[in-house]
This record gives sequence, C-alpha cells and structure tokens, in this order.
Amino acid sequence: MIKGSNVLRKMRGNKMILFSSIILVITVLVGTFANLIAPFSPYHQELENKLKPPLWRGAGTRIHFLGTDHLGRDVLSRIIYGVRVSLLIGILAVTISAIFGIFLGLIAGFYGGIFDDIIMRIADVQLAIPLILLAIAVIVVLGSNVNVLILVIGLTQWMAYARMVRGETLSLREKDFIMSAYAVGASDLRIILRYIFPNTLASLMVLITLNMALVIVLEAGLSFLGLGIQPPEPSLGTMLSESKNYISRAWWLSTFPGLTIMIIIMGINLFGDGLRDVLDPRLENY
Amino acid sequence: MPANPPYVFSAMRAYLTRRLVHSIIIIIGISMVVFIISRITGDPVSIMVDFTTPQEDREIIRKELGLDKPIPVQYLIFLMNAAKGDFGNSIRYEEPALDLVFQRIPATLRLLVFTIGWSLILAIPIGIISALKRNSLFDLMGMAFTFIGQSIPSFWLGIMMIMIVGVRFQLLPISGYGDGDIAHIIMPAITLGAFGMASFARITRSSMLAVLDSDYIQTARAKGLRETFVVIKHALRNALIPIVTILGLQIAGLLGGAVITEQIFAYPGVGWLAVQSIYNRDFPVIQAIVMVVSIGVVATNFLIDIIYTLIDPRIRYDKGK
Repeated sequence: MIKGSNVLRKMRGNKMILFSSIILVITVLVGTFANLIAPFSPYHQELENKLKPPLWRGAGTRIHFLGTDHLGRDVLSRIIYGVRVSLLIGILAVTISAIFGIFLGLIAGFYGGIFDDIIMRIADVQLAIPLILLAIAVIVVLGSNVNVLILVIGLTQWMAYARMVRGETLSLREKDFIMSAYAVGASDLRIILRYIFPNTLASLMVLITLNMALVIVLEAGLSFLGLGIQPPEPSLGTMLSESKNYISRAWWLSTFPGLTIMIIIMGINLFGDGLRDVLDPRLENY
Repeated sequence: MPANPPYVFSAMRAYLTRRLVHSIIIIIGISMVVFIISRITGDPVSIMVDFTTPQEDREIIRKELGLDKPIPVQYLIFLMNAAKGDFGNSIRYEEPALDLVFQRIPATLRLLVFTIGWSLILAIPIGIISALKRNSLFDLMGMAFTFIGQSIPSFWLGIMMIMIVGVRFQLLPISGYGDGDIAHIIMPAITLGAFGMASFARITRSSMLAVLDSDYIQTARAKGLRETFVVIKHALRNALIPIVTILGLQIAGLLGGAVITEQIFAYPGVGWLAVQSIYNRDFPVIQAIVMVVSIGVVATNFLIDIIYTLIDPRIRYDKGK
C-alpha cells in the first residue's frame, strides 16, 4: 500500500520529478490558458506576412515571435493551441484506455478461467496488429474527426493496463490479507475495490504517465498522416505535416512544433522514470 | 555440454506446439477484427463505391459479395477467401489487393533489416559498457543519449534530417528508393530505429546490471576467470534474453512506425501503400495490409519463441502461458 506522506517526501527529494514537474506544470498552464497566452487567434491569417522567419532572424515582423506559416498565421499561437489539443486528446484517450484496461485486468486476474482466457486472447490479437494500421483501417471506414481519433487511440491502449493489473491481481489474490477478507465474508466486489485495486495504484500511476507520452506522440503521428486533427484546427502533428512543403524555405515551421512535442515527451518520461524510482522500483524494465 | 535427454525434446515440442496453436488462434482473431472493421458502418458497399453509384448497382454488388447473407456466413466467406489470398481487387488499381501488398514487401523488409541491424549494433555495446562502468561519464552520456532517443518523435527526427542532411548539406537523397542503394535507406532507417535503439540500450544496461550482481557471476569471478570472459560468456548470454523479448514486443511498433517513416521519405514500401490507400479509400488493400502485416508480427513472435527455447534452457522444461 502506498504511504502518502512517505511518498511525497521521497518525491520532493527526487531531482527528476522536481525538474520534470516544472516542465509539466508549464505545459498544463500553457494548454489551459491558451486563449489568454497566445498573442493571436490560431486561425488569424495575414497573407501579406506569410512565411516570415522568427523575430531574431531580422527579416521577420516584430510581432510574430516564432514567425508565420504559409497562410501568415502566427506559429507561436498555433503551437500554444496545439499543446492544448495534444493534452486534451492525451488525457481523454488515456482515461478511456485506463478505465477499460483496469476493469478487464481486474476481471481476468480475479476470476481467471474463461474470462481470463478470452480477455487475454483479445489483448494478444490487438497487440499483433500495428496500431497505426488499425487506426488507418478504422478511420478510412468511419472518417477522421476528433471523436474517432480519441476512441481509436483509447481502444488500442488498454492492453498494457489489463496485463499489468491482471498480473498484480493474480499475485495479490493469494495473499493472506485477501484470504482473511474472504474468511470474514467480504463480497468479491468489496475485495476487489477495497483490497486489490488500491494495491495496483502505484504501478498504475507509472504506467499512466508513460502511456500518456506514447499517446501524445501517436496523436501527433496520426495527425501528421492526415488522419487525426484536420486543418485548419491547430495541432502539432498537422503543423509538422504542413511544414514538409516548405522545408527548404521555412525551417522554423518544422523545427518549433517538433521541439515542443519533444520537450513535453521528455517532461512526461522523466516524470515517469522518477515516479517509478519512488513508487515501484520493480518496474525498471518497462 | 552434456547431450539433452530425450524428455527435453518432447517438452520443447509440447511447448512449441502450444505456441503454434496460440498463434493460429491469434490469426483467426485478427481476421475477425478486420472483418468487424469492414462492417462497422453496416454497409461495406459504401466504402467500396463512389457516392454517385445508383441504388440498383449497389444492390447488385451487395448480392455479388454475399452481403445479403447472415453475418456469420459472411464472415466464413471472408475467412475462406482470405485463406485463399483473395481480399478482392484494389479499387484504385483494379488488381488483386494481395498482389499489390506483396510487391511492396521487399522494400519494407529491407528497411526493417537495416533498422534493427543498426539499432542493435549501437545499442548492445552502449548498454554493456554503461553497465560495466556504472555511474561513469560514459554511462551518464549514454543514458542521456538514449533518453533523448526515447523522447524524440520519429517523424520530427525524419523531417529534421531531411532539412539538415538532405536539403542544407545535400549529403543524402531525401526521398524514394533509388535502385535499392544504401544512400536511400540511411535516413529512413535512422528515423525508424531511434526509439528502438534507445530502448534496446536501456534494457541491455539494466539486464546486464542485474546479471552482473548475480551469484553465478560472482562465482565465475571468484574462480579467477578473466573479466572479459565472464562478461561475454556468462553475463551477455543471459542479458540477451530480455533483448529478444523486447524485440518481439517492438516488431508491431516498428511496422507501425514504418508507415510514418515511409510516408516522410516517400519510400515505396507497404506503409506507403497503406497511406496511399487511405487517400484512395482503397479498403481492400488496407484490409490485405492489416492481415499480412499482423500475420508477420505473429510469425515473428513464434520465431522468437523458438529462439527462446534455444537460449533459455529453463523454457525447455516448463513454461506456462
């Protein structure tokens, strides 16, 4: 069981967590207050000011700090709104997959038998189909919009949660304190919610963190392929895909959105590594 | 090494048979997923024809495809055809979809071989040296390098390389297959392999650290064996097992990543065909690609199971599911 105060003390002492928390807090603030921070609307076009380089490269206009794109839109503003989109999709997709995966993992681990067989075989099937190809197939049939994107990502990430929760449940089920809970007549539901689930939380938090990084990259990748967020909506992946056409003329268009994704992912991964050190050193190989 | 007693082989055979049955179940599962996707909208004809196609023609197609039959029967028809390699004709090219996929497989395989090759060649030494010289400057730099490798989005890495290596300094071609020369594959292979390389290096390091601490390595050292001998003969062999596991887990990811990589570099492999097929709404081709690639993943994992039995003696005796 996680001891709250103890963990907090350890987390404060962990440099990785401290440093990455700063990155993550800034990211969340930028995403949340995008409308207050961004100097322009992400849709605002100034065709007379298109493909202007960043401020410090002289030729740019004063007000567009990171330059403008092929429609004269402010790159910085689009990145700020893009961060919001990435976070939103990341959080929603991870929530769906975590709920789904935890539920199935608890059932598979606790009841075993046929439930376990069916759930784990479905997981194996999904793990064998490369996610991007599965997404392509679904999106070609259903069309691409944000809801489909979130659903596709959410429903292709549950396996990691299910496998982990199942594994932990299997080993917990044999423990003495579970046996004694049975002995005093606790119901299955009570045992699962009161004794098993809380004990999987430490590993789950690490998994959720690392999965968030994966999902954000995935969203950007699908948008990059034109399957995710559709123009003119601002998204870091879409910006990168549009930048390909101006690669020899406008380096800033491809550099900054990608750098933004990388910094966010580094922040999340570093946080996840730190969390793992504090909460669950056994998970080192994940 | 003493010869294996006969019961070991029968245990191995039992284990591999179990894995084979498992693989076949998974492939049937994949065919179900593909079938279900084609039926999500309820009307598969709508993804095959233009929206201007009149209702009567749609009815004819529906009859031809057996779509007036009950769903389980439709699935069986689909499964039988798939087993014969018939996924229907490409809407765009009007050739059998499977043929189109097979034409692209060599290019993608080449990309995968180069990718896995360079990432292992770089990752294993980094991992070993980092573990042997734990907390040294090399270890620190190695871990920082692999951390970046794990965090950098592959498509961005590709675009940056095109911009700097390809356009600015014109060192390498930025797109296409050429005549299959090395120059055309370097940047795609780096793009696709960066993440895997970083993971392999980290796994090698942590499993080497675990093995180096273990009793039998201490014993080998105590016997006075040379350190290089201990590392290579005893430690590496055991440290390799997790690497093989991770390789198996990453195959699906690599094939998915190939879709994006091939798109960036207009590299004419299976992934590129997949993306082209989205724009053409060529569902038969996508269906064939998903089936072929996923079967490839299952086959690779079965191969890895065989490798396991060779490198990890414990599995020969007992390994549950």
